Amino acid sequence: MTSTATKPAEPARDHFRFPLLVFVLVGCLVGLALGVFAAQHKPSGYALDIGGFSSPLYVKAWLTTFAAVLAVVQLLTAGRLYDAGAPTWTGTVHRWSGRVAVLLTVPVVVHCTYALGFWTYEPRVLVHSLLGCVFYGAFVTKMLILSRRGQPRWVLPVAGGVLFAALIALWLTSSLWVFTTTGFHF
Amino acid sequence: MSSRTPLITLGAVVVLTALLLVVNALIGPPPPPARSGAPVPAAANAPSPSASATASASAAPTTSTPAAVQAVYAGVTSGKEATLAIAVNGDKAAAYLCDGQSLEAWYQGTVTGDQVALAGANGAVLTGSISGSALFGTVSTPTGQSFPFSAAQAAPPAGVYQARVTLNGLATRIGWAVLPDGTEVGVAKVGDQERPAPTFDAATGSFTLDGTPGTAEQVNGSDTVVGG
Repeated sequence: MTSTATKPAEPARDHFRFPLLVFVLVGCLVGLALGVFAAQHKPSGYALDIGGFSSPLYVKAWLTTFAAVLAVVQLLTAGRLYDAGAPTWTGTVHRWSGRVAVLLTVPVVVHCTYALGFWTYEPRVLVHSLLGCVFYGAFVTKMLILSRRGQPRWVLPVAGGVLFAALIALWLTSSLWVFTTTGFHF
Repeated sequence: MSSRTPLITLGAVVVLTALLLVVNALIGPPPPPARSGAPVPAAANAPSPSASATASASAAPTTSTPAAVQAVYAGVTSGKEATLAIAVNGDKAAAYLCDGQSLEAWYQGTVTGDQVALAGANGAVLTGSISGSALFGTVSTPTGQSFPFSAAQAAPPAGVYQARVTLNGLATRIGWAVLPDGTEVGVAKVGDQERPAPTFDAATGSFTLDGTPGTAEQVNGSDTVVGG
């Protein structure tokens, strides 16, 4: 299978090389724009609140936690997407868990960039700020890649892997930090 | 998989983000909270303000006065509503006013002859005149209150002190006006919430706020304390 599959894949990869470069560049620009906005915007110190939690901080911590759980679902379903024996709903679960996960992160990133901003004063905060930019850049790149067929097979796993790693690292540097320093509650 | 659904997802995320940003911009009537957080990124990202401040401070001795005079004035408002400290460095001055509970304001501006004219966020103004070792004047707060005050030239530890920490993920700025007897009156602004400041160690400047350690640093008259 490999020997027959590589030959037709050659023109496909060349055909995809330029769009892929553009998608990655667009993702980089989105990440950069997000970081510049977060750094330049005067931190308001407040943002729209979501009820049901003890504080805006915990809203963010839990939204990120739910997104991280869905990211694990993403990883598990992605592992079976190319498996012919996988249940037919695998792709549906993968797509919808991804959509819900990224939508859950939107109120978080808006609060992060609008109320707080891009900061560098300690390693955790610097890493978190950078990863936030990487995550949305990778998200945009992956959505653009998905919109085109015929890409080499390694492209999606790489984009998805970056996205998954960034989200889990974002969770580690924010939600886990909140739960361990301030307390584990809603 | 259809090739258009990822773009719809992307569009939905962009629309939701834009919507939340717009709502955020609308819910806060030009928020006073912005002023406390503002100076940090400005100072951190743009070296030019501090560079120009240093340049003008070092230029001051040659142009206006024979030597840059560094002095601290500390005092209280006439009704003892609030404590204030003013740091003067040559022709520049920075001041901090607070009641130790919830009222606070930062000011900065210039000293021309014996006249002090400082401004803060949201129309806050501090004006006064230096008479010998005393400074008399009027200070108004961002909330619209106005108090006459008197302050006396004071020796260390008197001065304006500030610190920045992060508390529960919220950018926190703490200011203190310290009187010559070592009394520290300060307010911590956590996000947009004011609360009494912790006391700091006079020798090292160290303090803890809800378990978060920090270091208070003395403000020089030419430091930038009010953000654009």
